[in-house]
Amino acid sequence: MNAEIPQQGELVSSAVSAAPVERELSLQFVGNPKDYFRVWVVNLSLTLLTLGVFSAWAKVRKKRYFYSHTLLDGTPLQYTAQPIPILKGRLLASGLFLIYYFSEHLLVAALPFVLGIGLLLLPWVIARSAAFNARYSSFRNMTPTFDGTYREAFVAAFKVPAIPLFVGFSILAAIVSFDRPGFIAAMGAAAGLAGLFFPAWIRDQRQFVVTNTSFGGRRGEFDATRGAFFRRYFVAGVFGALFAIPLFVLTIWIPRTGHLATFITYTSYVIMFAYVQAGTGNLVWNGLRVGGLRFRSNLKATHLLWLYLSNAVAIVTSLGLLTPWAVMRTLHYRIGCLTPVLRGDWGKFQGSSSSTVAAGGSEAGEFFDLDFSL
Amino acid sequence: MTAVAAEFFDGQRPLAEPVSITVTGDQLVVTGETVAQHVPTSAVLVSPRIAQAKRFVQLPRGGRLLCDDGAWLDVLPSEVRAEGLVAWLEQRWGFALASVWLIGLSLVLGYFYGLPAAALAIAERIPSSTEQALGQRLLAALDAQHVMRPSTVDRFVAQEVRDEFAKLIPNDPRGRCVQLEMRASFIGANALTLPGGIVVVTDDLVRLVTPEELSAVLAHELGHVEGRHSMRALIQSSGVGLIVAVITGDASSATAALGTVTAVLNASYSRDMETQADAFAFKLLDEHGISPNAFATAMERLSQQAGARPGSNSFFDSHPATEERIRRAREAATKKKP
Repeated sequence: MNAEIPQQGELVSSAVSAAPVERELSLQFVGNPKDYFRVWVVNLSLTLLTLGVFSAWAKVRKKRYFYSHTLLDGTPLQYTAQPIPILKGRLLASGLFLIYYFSEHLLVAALPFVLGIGLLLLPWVIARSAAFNARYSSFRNMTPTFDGTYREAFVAAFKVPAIPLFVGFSILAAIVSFDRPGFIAAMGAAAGLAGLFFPAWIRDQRQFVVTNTSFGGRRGEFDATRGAFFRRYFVAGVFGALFAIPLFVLTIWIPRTGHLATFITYTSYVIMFAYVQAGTGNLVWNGLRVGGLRFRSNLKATHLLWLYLSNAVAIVTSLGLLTPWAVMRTLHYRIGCLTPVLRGDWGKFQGSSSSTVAAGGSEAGEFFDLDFSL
Repeated sequence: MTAVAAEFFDGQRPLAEPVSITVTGDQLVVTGETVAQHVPTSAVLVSPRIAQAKRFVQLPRGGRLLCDDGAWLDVLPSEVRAEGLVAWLEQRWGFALASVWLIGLSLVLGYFYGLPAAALAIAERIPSSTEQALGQRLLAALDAQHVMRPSTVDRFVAQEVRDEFAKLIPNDPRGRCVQLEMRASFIGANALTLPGGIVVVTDDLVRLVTPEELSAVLAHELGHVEGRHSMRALIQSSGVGLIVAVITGDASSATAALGTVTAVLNASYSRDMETQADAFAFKLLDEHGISPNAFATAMERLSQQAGARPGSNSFFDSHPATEERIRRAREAATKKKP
């Protein structure tokens, strides 16, 4: 840390000089499995003992661990959320889920209304979660601000009709009988159309969050294209269609290969998942820019695949005890693949008075400070 | 207290200024090149301890300090007070190991005793009208989606089946509602029990087995009704899903598709219920002068028709191995004989 200090003195003076140069910043994850194991296991047991109520505190502890052990340019990030708003968010979310569950099983007549209200609530949930994540993160006493409105969230959620199409065709599939070709056609159309639109939808969600978040008076910019997202998903889809599905059909055809079919389904799912995760992760990080700060991301699908598969084996064979180890090595890899690049110096980011107020936590009592993410 | 080195962040720019901190009496003093602040210690907020990470001190006028963890921070007001105790527990390996035992024990006890007992208690408290409404709804959905179609069995045969079913219904003082539904279906020879005591028998089953064997299958389904298995399975699988989600929530970022765990756990519950329903059926059949052998031959016929999967007893199977069920039926038959 001490080595950092004269450097910053230099930076302040270089802000005056003309040509801003780009320099790579250090970004490190310094968490270790031994420490995280204790955090994980103590919080999990308290969560089970309190029948889930403690889960809000557990979430804060784990987030605090991740943030405090991620050093950007030598300074740890800070997580400043309070557990009570998270608990409220979880209670509200489980209430909504119960309403959905009951309407699905008991009050079918109400289901279309519940789904309709759910679609209207979706942009609100997306916007509130983004606002929560921004407001309760902090870097060097500066808090990002999120100012996306419900209207903007609504446009971002429905501009590409992936979700309405999927819901619509699923309802259609439920109406058409199971043993008729119509069912397969409707389900296929639902999956196909939603699949075609889904990459663009994901990209729109990322763009909505990034371009409505500001740090130090600089608004986020996002230039990853829908086409680039589509290509990633398309390649994964082609792999599924040419490799996974034929192999799966083959194993069903040949008798006594039930477990092999399960194995093939699982493996090809993980392969596609790792490929899409690496690709979209790189697209998002390489495509975003805040003021003079941008990132270089070089996640490798093969390495993620190795991590996912070996983690699954480790977690299952250790009866879950290696979960903290799996989480730590995955974070090490993911954060290690990111290189922040800063043009000019940190002094270009200027805090407004409002960001200081938010950092003071004066808004923590607001009812709608809800966190919906798990 | 000796001076502690820290970094000061003014909240206006993301730049660090090296400062030193001292606590004298009830005053916290921050001194640096451009900073000189005296603030009452009661007005600062310290971020909770986490592992050995550095900690933040929020100052009243918007500044923030970052410094190494130390015991002196614990006497200052904390940002989230409850976390202090949790942090204290997290520092100790003894509590971590105790937690492992506690989690293991509560999961094993919860899985084998807690959740089944809770599911039974909840199922008993659900009004039978609600349960029947749920069962009717499920049947209506199966009908609407043409999984089930109207029965085409000869109406005299159908009447015989109904009479036989009525005879089998145990004289239950608790007065469980039971209702027989006959349907044609592409699912083949099968019988199933929906919530609310709705037993559905497919035409293929009626045509495949002898009347005695059909009674044996119906007796098995009545075992499910008696044990409220449909409702309990519904509640138990929801509980399993919730608990698995809580435990593997962390792992989901590090791996994919741990959902198979839920399937394995639910299959074990299902096998237990099948075994219970079998035992109930053997007793009920015996009371009606039908040998449990009828159940064994019914199972043989069904497994032949299904294309005979070899009896590997897998964690994923929702039913116990057919050979095992047949063996138990024959055992019950020979025991009751003398």
